Amino acid sequence: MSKLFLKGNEAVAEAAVRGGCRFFAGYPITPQNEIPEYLSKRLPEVGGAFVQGESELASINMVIGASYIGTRAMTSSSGPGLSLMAEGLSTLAATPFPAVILNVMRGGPGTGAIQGAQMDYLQATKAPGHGGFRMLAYAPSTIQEAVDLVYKAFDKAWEYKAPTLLLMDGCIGSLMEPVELPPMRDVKREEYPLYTSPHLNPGNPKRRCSATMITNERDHEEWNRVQAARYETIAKNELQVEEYMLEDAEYVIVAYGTSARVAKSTIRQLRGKGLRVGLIRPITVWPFPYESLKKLDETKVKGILCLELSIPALMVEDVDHGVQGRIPIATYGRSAGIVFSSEEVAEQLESHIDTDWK
Amino acid sequence: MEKIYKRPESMQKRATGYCPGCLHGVANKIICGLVDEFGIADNTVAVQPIGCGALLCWTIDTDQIISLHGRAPATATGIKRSAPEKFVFVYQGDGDLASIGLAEIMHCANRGENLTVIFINNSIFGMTGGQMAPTTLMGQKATTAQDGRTPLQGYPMHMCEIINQLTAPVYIERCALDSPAHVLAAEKAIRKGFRNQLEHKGFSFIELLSNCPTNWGMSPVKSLEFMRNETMKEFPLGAFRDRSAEEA
Amino acid sequence: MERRMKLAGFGGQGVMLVGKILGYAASDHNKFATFLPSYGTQQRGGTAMCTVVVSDEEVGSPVVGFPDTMIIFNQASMDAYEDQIQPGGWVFMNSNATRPPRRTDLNVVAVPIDDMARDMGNRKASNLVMLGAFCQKTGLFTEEEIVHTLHHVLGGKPEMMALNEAAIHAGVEYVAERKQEVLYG
Repeated sequence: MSKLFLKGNEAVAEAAVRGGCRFFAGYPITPQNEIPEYLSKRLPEVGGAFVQGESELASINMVIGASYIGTRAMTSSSGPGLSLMAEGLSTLAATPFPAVILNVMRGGPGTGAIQGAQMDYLQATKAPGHGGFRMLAYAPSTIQEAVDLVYKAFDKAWEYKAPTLLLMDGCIGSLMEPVELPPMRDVKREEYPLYTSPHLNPGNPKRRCSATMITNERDHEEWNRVQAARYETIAKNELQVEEYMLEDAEYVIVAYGTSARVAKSTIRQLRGKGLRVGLIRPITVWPFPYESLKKLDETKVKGILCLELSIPALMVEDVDHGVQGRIPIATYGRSAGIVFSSEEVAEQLESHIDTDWK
Repeated sequence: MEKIYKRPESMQKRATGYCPGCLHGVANKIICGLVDEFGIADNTVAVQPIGCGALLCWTIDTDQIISLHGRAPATATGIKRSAPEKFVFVYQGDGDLASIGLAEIMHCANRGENLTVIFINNSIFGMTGGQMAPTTLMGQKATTAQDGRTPLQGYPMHMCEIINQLTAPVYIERCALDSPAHVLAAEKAIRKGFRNQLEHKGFSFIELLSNCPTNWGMSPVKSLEFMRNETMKEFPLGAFRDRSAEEA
Repeated sequence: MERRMKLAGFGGQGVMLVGKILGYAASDHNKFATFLPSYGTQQRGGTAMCTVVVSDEEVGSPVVGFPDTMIIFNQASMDAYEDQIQPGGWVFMNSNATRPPRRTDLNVVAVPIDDMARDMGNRKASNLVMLGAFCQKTGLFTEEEIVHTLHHVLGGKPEMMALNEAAIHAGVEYVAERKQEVLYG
C-alpha cells in the first residue's frame, strides 16, 4: 500500500474512523482543530455522527451517551479542555465505558501556549479526574505510530471497557509525514453488559442501567476491587516501550513523543562522536516502563537525562521510581511551543558527561 | 372484574425513594404509564440527572443512565445521535437543568435534538438539603438564603420562556402536579412530547411545577397551597409553543 | 542521505506550500520526510516558517536547529535565520526581496523570483519559480518528479496547472543556464 503525506491530526482522525469510530463530539481548541474539522465531514460519510459540543463538558458527556449505547466514540481536545472533561473521564472509568480520548498537548499551565508541548504528563498518568482510577495512555512519537495506536486504542478501550487516552503533543498533531493508513473496519454497535445494571434494577437485570453511584457500601467497595484488578491486568498486558541503542549505553535519555524523536537524532550525532548514548521511550506512559529503568546496570550507566517539552520536568519521579537512586538523573526541558533541537540536547548531555557524570 | 387502575407494567416493583408528599412520584408514574401506552418499554432509555430526579432509577423498568450533574441533555444527545431508533427522554430537576446544566439544555434545545425533556421545577435543591435554586421564588427561604431570596441572589429563571426564544424546539409547555386536573393536563402534555419524538418531530420541553414538603418545611397539603398561591403566580401554566400538529 | 531545511518568508508568499510540496514529493518517491509548520497566533500575515527534512531513513527530529539548506523569501527571514545555517550550507534566496547573507561561508543561489513570476503574468507563482531553482540545483527531485507531485497536490484547472508548470520550469532554466553567476559565495 502506498503512503500518504498527511498532517498528524488528520491522519489520526482518519485512522479513528477506520478503527470503527462512529461518534465524535468535541469543542474547538488549538492545536487539535483539524480533528473535529475532518470528522465533521468524514463521519456522516460512513454513517456516523458528529456533534460540535457547546463545551468540553457537553462533549465528553455526549461521548458517554454514545458509548453507553454501544457506539465506538471519541473526543479530542487539549490540556484546558481535558481539565474540563475530568469529571466525565472519571465517570467513563467508573461505569466503566469504553471511549477514546485524544489530548493534543499544548503549553501550560492555565490557558498556556497554543503551540505544542508535553505538559499534561501528570494529568494523563496520575490524575485525569477525581476519585482514583487508572487510564491506559499511549504516547506516539511519529504520525505512523499515532495512526497505529489510535486504531489499537479503540480495540483496547472495547476489550477492557475502559477509556483509553492518546497523549499526542501538538508538534505531532501539526507535523506532516508519510503514513500508511490501516484498513477500514466495519464495526457494529455493541450493547455490552453494564456492571451496575443489577444494582439499579434487581428485578429485571437484563435492562441496561448505568450509574456511578451505588448506594450499598459493600457493593461499592466490591466494585472498586473489581476495577483495581482490571487496572492490574491492563498494567501487566499493555505495557509498551522502545529501547533504542540501549545494550551498550553509558548514558540514557528517557523521553516520549516528539522529545523521543529529537533524542534519536541526538543519539545518532553523539554515537558518531563515539559517545554511547541510548534511549528508553515509553510508548505507554501509563503503564510506565519501570522495568526498563530497573534493569539498567549502575556500574555501566553513568547518567540519565529525562527529556520533556515541559518546564518543570514532570516525568522525573517515574524515572526515579524505576532507577531507585542508583544512577544520577538530570532533566532538560523547553516549553511554550519551543522545541529543543537535537544539537541543543547533545550539548546538554555533553555538559553532564563532562561534569557531574564523570 | 375488570381492572381499570393498576401499576404500570414498566414500573419496578419496589418502593420509591421519595419523601412523603413529594410529587416526583406522580411524574414518575405518568411517565411509566405512557411508556406502557406507547408499548416502548424495551426501546426506551431514561436519561436522568443528579439529584432527587435520579430516584426515577428505582421506579422505571427501562434501560437507563444517570448522567453527570446538569449534563443529561448532552448524554441524551450522544445516545440519540448514534442510535436514532431508541426512544430517549430526559428527566431533570431545576438545580440540574437551570443552574449547572444551563448550557447543555439550551444547546440541546437549540440543535432541536429529537428528544423529550421533562423538567421538574420545585424551586429548590432537594437531595443536597434545600439550597437555593435558580427557580427559588423571591423571598422564599432556602438553606443558602436563610432570610429568603434577595435580588443579589438573582431572580427566578423561567426556563420555558427562555427556551421559547430559540428557533428549533417544537413543543414547550408548563404544567403542574398539584391537583387531579393539572395531573391529567401534565399527562396529556408528556404524551404529546413522547409522540413528537416517536414521529421524529424534534425537541419537546415539558416543565412540571412540583413541591418539596421536606425542604420547604411544610406539610404536603400546605405545600400544594403554596404552589397554587405562590409558585404558579411566578411560573404561569400553559403552552408557550406547540408545532406538534405540523409535519415532521 | 538526509537534507534538513528551513523555509521562511512573509505569510502569503507561498512558503508553506513549497515546504509541503517537498514533503509530498518525498512521500511519492518512497523517501522519509517531515514538514513542520510554525505560525504565529495571528490568522493572517506575519512570518511564515517551516522546517522540512527529507531522508533515506526514518526521520528523527523534525525540528531543525541548524539547517543545511535554507530557502529565504524576504529580508526579515534572512536577518532572522542567516546565523543558523551550517557552515558550507546552501541558501536559496529571493533576490527581489532580500540582500545576500553577510556570511561568506555559504553557497548562495539568488533568483529574482518576483520579477520572473510577474513577467510570466503569474505573480503568485514566485514560490514555484523558487521550487524549480531549488530542484535544479540540489537534484533532490527532477523537474518531472516535482511536476508529477504538483499535479496531485494542487489539481485544479488545466490552464492554471500549465502556468504552475511554466513557473517551475522557469526556475529550473534560470539555474541551468547561469551555472556560476547565480552564486555568491
